Amino acid sequence: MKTALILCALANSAFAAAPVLPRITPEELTKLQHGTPMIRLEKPAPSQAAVSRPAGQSIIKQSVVLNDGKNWTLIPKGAVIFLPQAMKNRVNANPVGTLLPWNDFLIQNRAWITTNDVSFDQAAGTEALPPERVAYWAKQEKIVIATHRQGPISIRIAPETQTITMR
Amino acid sequence: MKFPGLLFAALSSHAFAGAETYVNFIRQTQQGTGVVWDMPVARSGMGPSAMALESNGSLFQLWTIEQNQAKDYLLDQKLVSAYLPKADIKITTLDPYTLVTRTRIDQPFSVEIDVADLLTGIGLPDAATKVLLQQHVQSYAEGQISLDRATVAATAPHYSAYVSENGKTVLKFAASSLKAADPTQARGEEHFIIHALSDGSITQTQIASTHVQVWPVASGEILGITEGQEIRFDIPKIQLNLNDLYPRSDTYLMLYEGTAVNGAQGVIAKAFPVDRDQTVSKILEVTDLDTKFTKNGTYTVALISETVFGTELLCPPITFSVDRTITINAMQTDFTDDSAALITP
Repeated sequence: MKTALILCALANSAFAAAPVLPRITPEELTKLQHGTPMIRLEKPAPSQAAVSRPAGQSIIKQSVVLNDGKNWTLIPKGAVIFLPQAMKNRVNANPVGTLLPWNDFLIQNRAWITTNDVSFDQAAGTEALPPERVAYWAKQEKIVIATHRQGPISIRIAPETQTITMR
Repeated sequence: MKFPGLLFAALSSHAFAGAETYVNFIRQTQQGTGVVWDMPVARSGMGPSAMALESNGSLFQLWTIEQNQAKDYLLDQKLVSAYLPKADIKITTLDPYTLVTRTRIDQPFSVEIDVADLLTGIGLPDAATKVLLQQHVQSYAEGQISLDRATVAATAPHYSAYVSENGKTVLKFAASSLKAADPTQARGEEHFIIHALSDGSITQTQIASTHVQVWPVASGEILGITEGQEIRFDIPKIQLNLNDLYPRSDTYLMLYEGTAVNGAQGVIAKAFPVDRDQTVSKILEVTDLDTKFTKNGTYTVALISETVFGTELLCPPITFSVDRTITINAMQTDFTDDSAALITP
């Protein structure tokens, strides 16, 4: 409709006012491309400009995939803090089916996933997790995911916590 | 230390993020401890980070994953720290399209950089006194309409320069730097990335980035009629070959009386509007041009494309003449003689 109105408006007086320009030639464009406004900035020596840009990044490859057979989601590597033997086939599974955001996946799979909210210091491994909580994990047949403010978080197990877990 | 001002308004700013088949993730990686946290996100919106910032910085990455192929795309990333310089970067083109910043290879655009928290003084390390601006250019492969940011950022930059002053710096480019055998046909993207200088303590250094999509200059051909042709009967069938019409453009075959295009009152013989997310190539046939001629004379047809950049010819106009005067050579016969009377019934 909009296009039709535009065409109608143009039909009688098309391009009578607007100058019609010739198409730019490759030579003219090459001239335009010559030079850069960045020339006025300081250019680093080849040995300088130390920046880090890791190649081949992939959030899927940098994550653990959870799959319930129908849906899948991903969480940071290190966020699974307890994995019962019976649930191993649901972790590091193939990303097939419908991808759900973490919270939606959790709501649908409360039967076999539980979360353990941790502080930043606990995630960084500078503070141990409460022993009674760690002991409780083994009493249930659920995968335990570390979370912080409802988002999954990787966790470095503090030495004391590791001892408790291995007991 | 909390960083409540970090907002993720970018979620809805990319074509990927708006589609139903994509799921978004925001991942924060602490550069010092290596702790990784996925921030709960809606399809669009914004929110503050709930994680503490480390002195080495936190890397925020906006990812989207395409459902069908489980293919992930890094849409944006930013390294933030209390002790790192801060930067914002924005590209402005003549095209007002909002879903992605786009322009045409021959058109000017500007890059605005806003840097803060650089220090001045003697004996300070480079990382505190300057940031590095890098320009990456990469062409599209056949059929491609977007590039993975991480892949582009991993390539060698086209140009690098330091920015060593706080505040705004505006760089005005006369045209895109993308190259091709015929530069008017170059297509791809230019990425501008600002890095903090690495002192070895951080694994990533990108503190701001943006990119612009670059499309080629349209071209065309008018086939079926030639310069100087004299048309005495039907107008021949005309074919229009349209190549790389700008994603938002209106293309016309115009008919003018006389030989001039500029300043003349033309009539639209064929129209082809385009409103897409990429350039369009098309072959059109014009079969009803005959109805546009009301008298004999000299005419010119021109293939014209109207875009936000102006009104331009796609190929040289063609001038021809139409002369449909019928000349009858006959001999008058007088039927009043006697022989005529013989056949009267």
